[in-house]
Amino acid sequence: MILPRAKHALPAVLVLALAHGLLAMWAELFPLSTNLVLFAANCYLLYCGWLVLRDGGLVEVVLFAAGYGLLFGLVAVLLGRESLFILMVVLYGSVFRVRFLLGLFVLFVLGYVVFQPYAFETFVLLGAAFAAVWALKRRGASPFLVACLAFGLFGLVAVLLPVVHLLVQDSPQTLGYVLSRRDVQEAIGVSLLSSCLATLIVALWGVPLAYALARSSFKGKSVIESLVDLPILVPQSVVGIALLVLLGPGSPLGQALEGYGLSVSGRFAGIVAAQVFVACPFLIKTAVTAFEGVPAHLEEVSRTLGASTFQTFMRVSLPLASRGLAVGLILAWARAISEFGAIVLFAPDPLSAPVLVHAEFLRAGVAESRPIAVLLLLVCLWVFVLLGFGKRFLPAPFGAGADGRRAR
Amino acid sequence: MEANFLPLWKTLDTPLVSLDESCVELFSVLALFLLSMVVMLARSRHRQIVRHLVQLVALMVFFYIVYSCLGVFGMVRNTLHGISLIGSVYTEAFFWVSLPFCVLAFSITAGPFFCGWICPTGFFQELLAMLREQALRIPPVARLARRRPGRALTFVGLGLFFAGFMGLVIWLGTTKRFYVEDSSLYWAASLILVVFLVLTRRADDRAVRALKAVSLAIIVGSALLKTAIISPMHFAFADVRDPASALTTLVLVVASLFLSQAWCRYVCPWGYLMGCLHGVSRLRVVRAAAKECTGCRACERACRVDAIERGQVRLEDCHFCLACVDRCPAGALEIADVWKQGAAKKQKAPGA
Repeated sequence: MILPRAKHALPAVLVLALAHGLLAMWAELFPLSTNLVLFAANCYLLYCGWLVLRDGGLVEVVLFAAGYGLLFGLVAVLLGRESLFILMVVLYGSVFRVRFLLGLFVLFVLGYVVFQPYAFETFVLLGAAFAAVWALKRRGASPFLVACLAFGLFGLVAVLLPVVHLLVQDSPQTLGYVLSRRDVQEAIGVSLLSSCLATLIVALWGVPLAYALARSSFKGKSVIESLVDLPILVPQSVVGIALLVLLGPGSPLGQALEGYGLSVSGRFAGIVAAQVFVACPFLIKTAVTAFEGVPAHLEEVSRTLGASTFQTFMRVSLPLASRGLAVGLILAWARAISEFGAIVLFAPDPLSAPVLVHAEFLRAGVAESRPIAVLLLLVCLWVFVLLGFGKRFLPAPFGAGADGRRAR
Repeated sequence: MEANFLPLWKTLDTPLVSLDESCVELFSVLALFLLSMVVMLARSRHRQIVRHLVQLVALMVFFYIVYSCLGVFGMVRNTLHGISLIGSVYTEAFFWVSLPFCVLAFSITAGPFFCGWICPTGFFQELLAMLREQALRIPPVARLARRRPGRALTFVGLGLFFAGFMGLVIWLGTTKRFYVEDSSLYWAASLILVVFLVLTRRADDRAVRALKAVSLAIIVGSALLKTAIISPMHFAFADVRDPASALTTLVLVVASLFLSQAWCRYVCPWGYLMGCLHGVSRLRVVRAAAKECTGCRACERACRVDAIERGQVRLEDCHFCLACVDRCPAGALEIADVWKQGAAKKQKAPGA
């Protein structure tokens, strides 16, 4: 049965018409035109209600009516937007039987009625979180697991809210104008170049160190492992001061370098130095885990087949660990480009992007520095997404080839 | 040309009955959709004629009463724009959002019948197909090409024709001062290319339909960047006349003469949205369990969007025009209610 029977539908519509007529005559709640539209919408909702009654039973009809009442109270009475209420109610009736869409609709109303000034951001974030939770639930995961994910995602949404909110602040035209500014272009260029260089430098000595740490055990190894973590611990300002004391213009080493024309402080090289310092633990720690994930017996087989230890490293360990290494490189790169405290103290001169944002903030305030911040954020996000996607094309780690990931 | 020039048929520069907050728009849209849903689902031997009547009524409604954009690009843009206005300018938000919200809402509780019963861009293409089939009695070129695939003459003729159009589009795009608003020319150019490739069997008809998603992504992106790309057919519903939209419409006309509903098949962004919604909507066309399909392929011939393969309807392409149901001599296709089946399954499961 696709439509309700006429002998049921016609009386229902007549009663509805009567109710609206009475409403118009005595109560004068709405103007005539609104009443007319509401009548048409309610005809549709009768149809939706019939569907709910047919498929869900009486309890659901009561819930359906309660939701209608809630929307009425929220949008029509509280906000005083009858026309919007009519539209919302048409959507509500349609999505009621499709649970996923109903959830999205509730979030939509929540965002646009309750969290009004931040409606778009909250709707996008909460909607994405809801979709993830829903997907997990559809997979048949245990309720506890689903609850864990939902609870955790709620926190993540709260953390991400300022970032997403920042992203939607400026019009694309403003962003385009700011991007055309020479100093902004240069600063973003300096940041990108220095962070890539710093990541390369870290990779150059970090990967061998990580391999050695993963493949050996000796006295004092645990000390080295905790020393690797040290740069995470040191506050950024302290890093800046430490670098200044060691390499700054007044220090013996700094003077010596200046004598060779290799001044570091206040130069591009200084930015790279500070970034290397803060980025190295992220690469090394991830690389150690990646190398530990490569089974030792594969390397032994390679040795029995006549490969040297270096050849084994290059042709067995390195490819198998490449996904983990890529993650480490991305993390190190992200840490390097986001470094601010050490750079502003040690090498503020060729303006890097975070320093430029700070300088602009001090000079002109939030409104001026905001578009630059958004631009920096967009560039970083874009590179981050690209790198994360590119990672898929690296060979899969040993034993992980079966999960459908693309391996080449 | 005057600054606020109105097309001839839009003699009324305010809605028929001027009601506050332009409620008359929502009323007429709701009434239209309710009407078409009732006549669509009521069992009728003359359903296809009724369908064309509904399309005609819809056209009149959108010419004279409803002023918000019915273009396939504009509706995507209006939705986003209207949503962004909720909270600050309620009346305007309501104006922008009412039509697309109604289309989405009704597509959930029925099928995506907007495409097959109301959309003027689709109706226009269908009219052309009918003109070609009924009045001119020319078989569609698609079928000609299918019959003799390698014929050099067809090949060269088609190629020259399409190349000519392509050249015209590109020439217009490069010589006149080009605005983002005129980007629909790119849609026209890709449509020509795709139709040519499909007709000469250089591209797979089904695979190319993925372009709809690309098209939607571009339109959503451009809407978020606050730029407007003008839809084809747009000039019929708004007080602007711009050559790009007109040329795109022309391309759409020619393309649909070669391959029925070419725009809907390959590039319509709104159509992609409707296809996605069809996955969750209540009604769909399925094979009747009780009746035997004889394999006569009448449904495949009836389907203007080629959404049927061996008696199975592909949801993402279906326009819900129900021509297949009406044409099936064995009655082997029927409208199924997915929600009811789901509810019945759920009730049965705990007991069993």
